[in-house]
Amino acid sequence: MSDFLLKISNLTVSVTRNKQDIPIVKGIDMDIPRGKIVGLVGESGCGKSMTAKSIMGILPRSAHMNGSILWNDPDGSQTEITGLKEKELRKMCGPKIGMVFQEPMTSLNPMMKIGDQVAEVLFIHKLVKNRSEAKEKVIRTLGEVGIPEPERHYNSYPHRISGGMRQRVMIAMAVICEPSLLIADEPTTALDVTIEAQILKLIRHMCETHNMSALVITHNMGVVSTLCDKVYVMYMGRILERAPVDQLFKTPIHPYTRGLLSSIPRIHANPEYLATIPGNTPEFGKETVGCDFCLRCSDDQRRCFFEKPKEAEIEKDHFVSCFSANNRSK
Amino acid sequence: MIKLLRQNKTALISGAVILVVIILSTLAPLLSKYSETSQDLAHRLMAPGNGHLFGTDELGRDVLTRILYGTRVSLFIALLPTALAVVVGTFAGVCSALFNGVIDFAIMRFADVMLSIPGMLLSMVVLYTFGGSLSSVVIALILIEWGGIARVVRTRALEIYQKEYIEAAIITGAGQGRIIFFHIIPNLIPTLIVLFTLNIPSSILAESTLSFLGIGIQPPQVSLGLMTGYSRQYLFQMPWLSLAPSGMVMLLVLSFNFLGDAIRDILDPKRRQL
Repeated sequence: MSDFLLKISNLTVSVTRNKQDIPIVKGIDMDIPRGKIVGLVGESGCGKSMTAKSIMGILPRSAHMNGSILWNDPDGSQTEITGLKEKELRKMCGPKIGMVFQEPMTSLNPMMKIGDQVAEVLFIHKLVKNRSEAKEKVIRTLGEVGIPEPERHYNSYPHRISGGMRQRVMIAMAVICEPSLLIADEPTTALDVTIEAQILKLIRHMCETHNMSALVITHNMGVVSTLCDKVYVMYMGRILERAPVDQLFKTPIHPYTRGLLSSIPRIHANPEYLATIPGNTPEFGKETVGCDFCLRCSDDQRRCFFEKPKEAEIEKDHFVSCFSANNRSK
Repeated sequence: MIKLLRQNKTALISGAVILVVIILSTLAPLLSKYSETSQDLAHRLMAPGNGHLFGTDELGRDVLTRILYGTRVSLFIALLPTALAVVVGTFAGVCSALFNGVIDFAIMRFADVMLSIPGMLLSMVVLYTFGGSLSSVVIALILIEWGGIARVVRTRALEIYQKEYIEAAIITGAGQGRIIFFHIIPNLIPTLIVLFTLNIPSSILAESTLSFLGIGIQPPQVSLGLMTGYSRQYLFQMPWLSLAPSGMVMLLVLSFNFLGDAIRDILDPKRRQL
């Protein structure tokens, strides 16, 4: 039971707008096993980033969260992250959780040398004794994430390097303290496909060599299939389906997952036709009684509109929240 | 940036003019055999020539020498109060951007109040309260200028605060101070340079105006505005007495204006011609 690194239970996040609480994340459970890469997929605005931000404690001021996020440290101690004070959380986050952002163009300070930026976290948490030790460590890490000539690039400013290189620098910043968990919020969305493959390979490599877990947030099923061990499919702030990656791609159960998978353009498919999921994401804040997906679902039933489906285990480790799936398993 | 400045002709010329003026006024005691205050009543109100390039004033003092000494005051006024106003404005602007809510409201409304009082009126109040002297002119100029600077800085700081690198710094555990000094202030510097250079001309003009009115710098100290004010009565008989010092003010203001414009163009990547 203690093989998980992070366990989220019943996490809810809501945003207050015009004195009204709009729920964004509606009670999700998730656990990140040690040394594994977990993918969180969903379309824009479904609450993926909010989930990541609530782990790091950087929700916007208008948002508030409930539920539990339990950190199971490799040294055996357990910490409830939601109960930590700001200062304690920061003390923990830097060294133990690293984060990579979506937009490499704005996630580096344009006025600071790359090396100094990577070294900053070392100084904040007093992990090095002096500048030369920090510099040595930064250069080693920059080399490790695949920056050519790390000694020279230590003194470069971010605008001198390309987007892919910046994302490598971001990864270096996230992993330099050798954290146990890496959170990557759409790490390759802003990059082109060749660089994307390199960056994904790099994340995989870093996780393997440092025995690190990762939570990868993406809307790209391709990223999930190449990178992750386990997938959570999120829609409208709820987890609809979770399974090991092979199983999900082999036998997707939830109509939404099936829709997502069939929407991936394929090179040999009919070029005139692009599979889509009909309809739009419903407006946030209007809570329905039934299943969140019922209006867009391909095999909807009467009870979908009046009742929320419960999560059920279809196969080993494969959970789905859908009535038709429940019927299938019976 | 220095390379780009060198390519810009306006910047080059105005920068050179400013440099020459600075050198001449600092070397004034060496360049002129007259002193700025020594009177020579036998040679009063002399026309240009005869060893006095711009003639002598009503007490027989050499006008050129006095201009050089007056320029020192103008340069001092150009740099010190403007720099202090930028410091005060940056502090107020950053505070107001970081602590939104009551502090933000208080600082910004106070700045609005200060900006709504005409600058001349505000400085006259200060000068009548503290008496006309260099230090009260400095205080008056800071009071006039900080509000506008604080507003611009606040907007810029808010914009920077939204950037992901700030979020990344918060995550790694950087404290408030570290975020301000390592991430926000360095990114404000281009804005601050522009604000500084654009405020310099108005500082020079304000000091000259106040001294012209007789409430700024007081004799025996020399100031370009003061000289213009005193020689106003001889304007029709001996125009060079007032034209020379006001010409110097114009030269300074124009050069600083052009330099400020050039720097703004260089720091704004959209205006930069590659």
